[in-house]
Amino acid sequence: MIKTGVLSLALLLFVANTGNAQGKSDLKGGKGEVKAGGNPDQGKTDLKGNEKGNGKTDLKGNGNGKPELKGEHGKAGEEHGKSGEEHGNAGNDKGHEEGEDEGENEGKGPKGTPPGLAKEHPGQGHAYGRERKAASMEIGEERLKASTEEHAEILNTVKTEVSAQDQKIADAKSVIETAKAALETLKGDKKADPAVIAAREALIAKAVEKVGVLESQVATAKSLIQTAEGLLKPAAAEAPAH
Amino acid sequence: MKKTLAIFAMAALATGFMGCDNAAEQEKLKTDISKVESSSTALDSTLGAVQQTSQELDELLNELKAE
Repeated sequence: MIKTGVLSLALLLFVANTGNAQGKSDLKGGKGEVKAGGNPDQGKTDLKGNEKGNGKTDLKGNGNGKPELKGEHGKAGEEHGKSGEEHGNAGNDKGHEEGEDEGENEGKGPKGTPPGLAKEHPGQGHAYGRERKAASMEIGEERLKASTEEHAEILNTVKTEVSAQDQKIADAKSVIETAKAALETLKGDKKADPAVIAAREALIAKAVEKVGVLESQVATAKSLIQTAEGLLKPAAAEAPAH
Repeated sequence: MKKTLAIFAMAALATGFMGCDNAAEQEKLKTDISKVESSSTALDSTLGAVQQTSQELDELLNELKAE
């Protein structure tokens, strides 16, 4: 009993760890043999020692990165679409006792399993959920990668632009100073048209205001650049690990 | 029997914890994506504003130089 329990625990943990295990359960019944597949790193391990003494549990890893879980046991004919691990466990407890029963069942699949999938892969309910989670994680990681790449591109563009704008601001200030000096000279000229002087003053004021706006926007951009670089650093640090 | 039940309970708990880990990873991934995309949008938007202001300043400076 303890051996059965320990074996069941190992099987459960192992199935939970496989993540993308297919959890295929053939449910063919028959010879009281439970085949549970799993970790591709495990190679092949045969575990004998069922208390009933007439069965065999094979723990196989097929090594191709797609572990298979097959549960074949006599009780299968009465089961409908349960997960692979459940059948694997059931095989330990009941498969040997009722190992001589014959039965084949395609299984309906648990709630939430697509009808086609349930028919093609009986007992794949939990494994289907795990596959969906794994697929979702993969999609998420791909999206994060794409977003990060795009982010890096935009960041470089903004850095280049900010650098150019810094220079432009300095040039604009110089032009404005020259215009102000010219205006003072014009003001000293008694023949100068007051309307021209007023128009030039207004133009200089507009330019000064615009430079102020540009400086503020450039400062905002610099702040955003710092934030963006902070976001990219962890990604760059993780990249070699993958 | 009790031992077997206890072992199953532990296994179920362990499986539950693993599920939580997976959910936490997904949530972290979502947060990371959201942060990066928000930052990209903010940068892009600021870049557009800077370029427009720069163009307007260019026009003003050209007028000043012309006079």
